[in-house]
Amino acid sequence: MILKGEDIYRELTSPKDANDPLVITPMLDLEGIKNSGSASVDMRLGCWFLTFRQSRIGVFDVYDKHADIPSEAKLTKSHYVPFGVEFIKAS
Amino acid sequence: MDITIDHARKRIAAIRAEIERLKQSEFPYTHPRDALDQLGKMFERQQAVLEKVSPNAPASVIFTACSTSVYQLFVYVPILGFILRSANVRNAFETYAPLLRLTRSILGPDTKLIISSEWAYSPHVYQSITDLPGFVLIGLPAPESANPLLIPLAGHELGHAVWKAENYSTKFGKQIEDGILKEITNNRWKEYEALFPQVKKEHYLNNDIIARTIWIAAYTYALRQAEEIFCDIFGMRLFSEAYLRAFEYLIAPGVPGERSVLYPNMERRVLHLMEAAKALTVSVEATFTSRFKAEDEPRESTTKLLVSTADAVSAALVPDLITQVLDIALSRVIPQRAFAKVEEVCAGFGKVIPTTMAYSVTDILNAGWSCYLNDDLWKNYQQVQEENRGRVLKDLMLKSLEVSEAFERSREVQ
Repeated sequence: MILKGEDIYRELTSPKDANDPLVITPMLDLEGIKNSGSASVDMRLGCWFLTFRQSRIGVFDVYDKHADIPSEAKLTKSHYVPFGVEFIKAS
Repeated sequence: MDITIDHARKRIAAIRAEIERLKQSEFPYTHPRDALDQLGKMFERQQAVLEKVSPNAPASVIFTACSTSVYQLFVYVPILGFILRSANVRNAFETYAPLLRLTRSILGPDTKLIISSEWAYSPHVYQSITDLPGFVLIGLPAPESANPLLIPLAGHELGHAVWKAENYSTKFGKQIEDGILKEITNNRWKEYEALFPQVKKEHYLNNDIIARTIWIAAYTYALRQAEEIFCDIFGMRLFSEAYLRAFEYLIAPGVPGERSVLYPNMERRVLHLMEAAKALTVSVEATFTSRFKAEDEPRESTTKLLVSTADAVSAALVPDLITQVLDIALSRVIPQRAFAKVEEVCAGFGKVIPTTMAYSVTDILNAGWSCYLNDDLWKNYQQVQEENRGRVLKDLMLKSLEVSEAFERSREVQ
């Protein structure tokens, strides 16, 4: 089901099911959604990113058994990117 | 070339090169880099001094210049390590911005803050860093540095910065000195006379140097204890119930062995917290004290007497310390935990939703603790498995701090 901007606005402000509401946070421009006429909402990514430590593993097979996959800490590096700072994810 | 000067110049060159390397670290905030800039300049000045020292200068001149530079290395290498660890991703960076706001509301708008994960279990603050004026450096134990539930403990460390900024050592110094002398001459005279028979009562009453060499240790203990009590009360004023929870999590039931003479013993520390909780209208259950065990008192008779004297004096200061904290809180814009706000945040957490508007760090941390202690939390949410409960709650708290910061910044821009 595609929701129009007005529907999204309504679900955000007075959800049909109060126990299972649609939540987008932080929602800094609620009126903008209502008036956009668009059926989508542009969202910002969070501040934490994981990148592969490419020098630690030659091939990463997603079909490997869970036990055979190295830990996230071994495979990846964490980055915290504060608001307003650029982060280049791929080169 | 004089080898002593040569070594000194190379040592300073090495630390300057290291500082340049440290600057390439991924610091999420500017203050660690600002600190590196300042320390880099300080070592640059050191190098300039060493460059000016002639190898033919008198040995005393060479020694003075070189030993000063060695001293700077001893002082600042640990600080540089601290700054480097502030970039480590084990830190809960989401807590930084709200804590900076809080710190600035307490210590002034130009205060710079560095929070780091430290390989010491006790949270601590670096104070009196000559070449980093205006900086507050708070270290939290590495295994818990990503745990927002323990952030209230930073309140105690901020208390140390306030104690220094307000010069309370001087303010309370005279009161403590009078208290110690009164305690000795009025209440403990027989014990002092037995241990130090050569010193008469009038030596104490006249503030004689002979007596001073004896009671100065008790004075030092009492002053340090008063500072720690103040910091506990200050932390509780900032974070209310969450401070008590975090305090209990970190240390209860206490460390085995002999107590530290620089803190009130654990039993008394908790009682002071209870007394302050009453004054600050912080809720605490009656069983709180029972979760801490008594520590061993010093066995050596002189230390035992001096510490017990200090204990009596610092305990008597508690009402004044509470008043001082309340005065500070009144004179600054320090948010206070609001039950209604805490409940709002809790209601969101109960639906696995972070905050959708700005809340104070105090309210978010208290909501986090309230949910943490709620056994029924997410009982009907099958998607949050029991083993993930703690992680999800911490993520919600951290995200809420981030969301609140986004709203704050948005408000500032408008």
